[in-house]
Amino acid sequence: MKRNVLHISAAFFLLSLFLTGCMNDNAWIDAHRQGQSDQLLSDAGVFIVNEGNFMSGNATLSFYDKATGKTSNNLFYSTNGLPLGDVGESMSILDSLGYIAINNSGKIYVINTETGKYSGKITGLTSPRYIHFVSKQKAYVTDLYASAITIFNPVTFQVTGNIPTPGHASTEQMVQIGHTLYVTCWSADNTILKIDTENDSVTGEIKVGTQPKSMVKDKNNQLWVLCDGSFGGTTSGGQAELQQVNPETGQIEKSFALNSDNIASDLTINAARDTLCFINNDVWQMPVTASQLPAAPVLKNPGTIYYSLGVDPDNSDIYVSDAIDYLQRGLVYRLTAKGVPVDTLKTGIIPGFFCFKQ
Amino acid sequence: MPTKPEPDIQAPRFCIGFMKRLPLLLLLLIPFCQELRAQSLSDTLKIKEVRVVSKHLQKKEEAGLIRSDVDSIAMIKALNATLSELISENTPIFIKTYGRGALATASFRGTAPSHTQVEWNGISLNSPMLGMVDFSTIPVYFIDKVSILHGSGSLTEKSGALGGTINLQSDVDWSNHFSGSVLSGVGSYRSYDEFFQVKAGNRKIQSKTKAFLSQSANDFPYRNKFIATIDPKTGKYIYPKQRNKNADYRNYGILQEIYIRPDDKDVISGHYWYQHNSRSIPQLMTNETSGDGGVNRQTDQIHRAVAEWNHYSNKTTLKVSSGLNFDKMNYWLRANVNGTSGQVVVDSWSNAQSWFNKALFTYRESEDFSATAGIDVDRYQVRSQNYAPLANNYGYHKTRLESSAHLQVSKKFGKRFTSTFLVRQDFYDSQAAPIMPLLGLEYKLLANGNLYLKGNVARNYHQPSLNDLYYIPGGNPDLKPEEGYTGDLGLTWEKSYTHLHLYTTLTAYSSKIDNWIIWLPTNKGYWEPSNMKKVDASGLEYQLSLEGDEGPWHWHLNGNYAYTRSINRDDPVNWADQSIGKQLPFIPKHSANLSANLSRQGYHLTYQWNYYSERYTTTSNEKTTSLDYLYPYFMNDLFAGKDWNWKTYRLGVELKIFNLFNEEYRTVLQRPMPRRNYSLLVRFDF
Repeated sequence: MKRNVLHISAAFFLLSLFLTGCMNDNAWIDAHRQGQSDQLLSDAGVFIVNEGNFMSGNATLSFYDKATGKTSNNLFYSTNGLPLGDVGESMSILDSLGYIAINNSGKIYVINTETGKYSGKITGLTSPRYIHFVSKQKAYVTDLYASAITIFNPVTFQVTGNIPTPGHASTEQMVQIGHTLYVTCWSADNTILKIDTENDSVTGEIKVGTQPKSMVKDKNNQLWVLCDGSFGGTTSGGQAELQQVNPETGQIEKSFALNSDNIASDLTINAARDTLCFINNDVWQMPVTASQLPAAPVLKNPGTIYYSLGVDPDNSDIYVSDAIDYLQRGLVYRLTAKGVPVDTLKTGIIPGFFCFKQ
Repeated sequence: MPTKPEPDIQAPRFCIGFMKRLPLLLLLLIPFCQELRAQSLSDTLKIKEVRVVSKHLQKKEEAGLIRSDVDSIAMIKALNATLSELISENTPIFIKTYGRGALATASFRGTAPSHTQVEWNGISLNSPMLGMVDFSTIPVYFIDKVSILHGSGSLTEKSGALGGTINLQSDVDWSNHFSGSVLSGVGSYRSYDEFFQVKAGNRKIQSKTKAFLSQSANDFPYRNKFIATIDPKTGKYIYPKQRNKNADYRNYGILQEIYIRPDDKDVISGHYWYQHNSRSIPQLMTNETSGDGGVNRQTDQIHRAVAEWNHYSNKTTLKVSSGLNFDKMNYWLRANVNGTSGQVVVDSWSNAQSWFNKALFTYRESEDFSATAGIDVDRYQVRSQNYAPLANNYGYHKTRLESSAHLQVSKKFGKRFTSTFLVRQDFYDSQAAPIMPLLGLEYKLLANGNLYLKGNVARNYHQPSLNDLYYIPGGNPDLKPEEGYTGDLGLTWEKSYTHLHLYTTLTAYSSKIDNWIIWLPTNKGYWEPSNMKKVDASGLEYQLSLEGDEGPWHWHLNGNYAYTRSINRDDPVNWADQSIGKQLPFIPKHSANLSANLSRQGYHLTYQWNYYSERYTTTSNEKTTSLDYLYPYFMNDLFAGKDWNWKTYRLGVELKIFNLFNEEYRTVLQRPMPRRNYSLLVRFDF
């Protein structure tokens, strides 16, 4: 009988020996770091910020070489051994540095656009959206919740102040004409704020359609704004509209009603700044002089959802993304300005923003 | 840039090697058992029968259905734990947990969290808004028995449980006069658990009062490998040492139960459960916002009440019950606004009120034939409101009336063959759902041995939750119900030797689920649900339970293994869609647990082991980067304790060691988990 007791104890002992730890997190992290290669990223290329899934922290950065057609995915992680963060929102380039706003991580990562290597970061932000460089020493970041635009120094990566935007929690895209910066106030708002870039203060506002999100300026320095029509919360929402706004007078010069059943988003403009491009189920192109919406889209939707759009400021090539089911690496279609397919690339989860290296 | 198609990972390979060795361990133990038996037979003087109640009685009403009960030893070991730990360590159900004390949802047989129904004394604990249950908020202490209906077996209770139903039951002991228990625990990270119960009564009336408080600062330290300071000269990474900030929780509750037996034909019971949960959900490890940005808090105030009347007569049983489940929830999120830290930017309130009514009538013609008819009328009301600081408030207010009628006939043919047939018809408001039938067949393969062959087939429907339909923004009122076809085939073997009891069961299942509801992001800035997927979920479930005595020693071994293939069989979204034919994200293919318990004269030792194979985070099952999948999970816990008995009193002390090997690990992408941690429990029973 004693032998059995011994056996049982031995079994327990063996059990504990066999069932040892196996989850080597360090080995895992190391195995996926591909080391800092001394690759050089082409001068003519496109950075694609892949949002990743909200609360999963799997945003990634891709780089597409326009000449060779080669795509480097997961560039930031593989070069720097750190994930980009949660919800990659946008990217802007100043000289040789690329600034990537990571919305739900409250930070901006700065990389060298030649190598993809980490150069620094701006932390302590609330919910950063878009970055605009006023000068080589001054940049603005809009925010989804902060009711303020944060000012930082793109050289020192230090936050230097903020511009309060009372009554407007969500600030979105920025366009500068002269010394005046125009900012769309998107979520549950209908305003374009005017900011004096000399003394960093709000000087006025323009009321537009419901939820103005994206905005561009055309060759005549007229503002074009795309209002998605949905009031963040309500499914009923309002009317999706494309509006031309005179920045001087604040007058809405033209207003085109879009199909509100489908998502209207991603207003962009071509290299010559005379043709608009946007998503409203299909991809549409419209001359800034047009008096009505075009009859046919430049790219018909084959039954998918076009997630985001970018137009090459160099040659007006159109880049449209398709997130497929949002839970796998998405696609980017590259087309000429005339809508002729050029290339198709696979990037990361939810390709959401295009940043052209010039 | 060169990208390696297959990352070279040493650690998981080692683990796979180890997995192969696991069955060996089980084999290791078996010779001892046989030896035990041989010896005891020759040594009749020392025979001490193993007191085990048979786990499988061939009830015709459960013919062919797969039911498993959580072991009573496991329940005792988990007294101070939540249902999340009890289920993940003792059943084949996979629990996805977002961290210590954080949200824990179930995936039963490869299905979604809303496909597992949790019933407490006949009322549903699933949120009518979300459809799912947070297992981390249910204290095991408030439950006497946990019974699990796998797959189609759940149709006997309710429709919609495409994965299965977890039944939480209360027991009554009519022989009790006055007894009670105090359990007090102190653990790592300033964790305190207090439990108290008192039972009083006689053969006619019994009262049971339980209360608990469970709180933790939960601020365990960890090394954050997802952010780093990179030395510009050496390129060296300095990972910050951080604490799991804003993860504290404090849950408490009280349970009052009254049982009355006016005569030997009637039992009336009343149950009331109040619970308050409050916790914060920590930010992801990549978060680098400042101050109180991103801090949040979720508070629940829950009232549950059930009144039940059971009437027994010679040939019939009538059960009538009515119950309420009121859950008032608040969630707020703070951000740095205008340079000021910690301003509320999201403030959501919801008030879900569910009312359940049930009548069940059973007629037993003879040992060989019974029929049951049941009616359920449930009403759900949800008021969901979001207060936006600078905009109009938005939300929804909806009610839904769900009624269900079912009829079940069960027949035994001869001594060895049992069968049951059930039809269920549901109504949603005034709309009829398609008929749901269930057929179960069971055959005792050996005349003198307890070896059973079981099988069943069923059709089931799961209605969209109220958030799926009406949530603002995103809710889609055009959603169709999820439709499932399930079949099970299983073998159960039970055998009692003089000093050993063996119970083992192997089940293969296959289910096809159409119109699987999934929430996906849109470029409107919010998520929307749609009937996206066709899913084939199939797999194997294996359970082994061995229990034996040897002299003063008592030992118990319980293990589960599940093989789960939950495959997306939808049409591709487009030509590039790589998700077809792939495993659904976050569902492990292999999962297993093993718990070994040894006790002798008041001393007891428990070893718990839990394993999940890797989980993909994408629908395309890629393994290109470390963000695409999670490494296999292995967890080891060790509990040791001693009980002292004096007259009718008992004092017990137990030390629990969690994460025995002090592993640094994660179970979801960017949520840290604690290293080795401890809990000391003192228990006094009177």
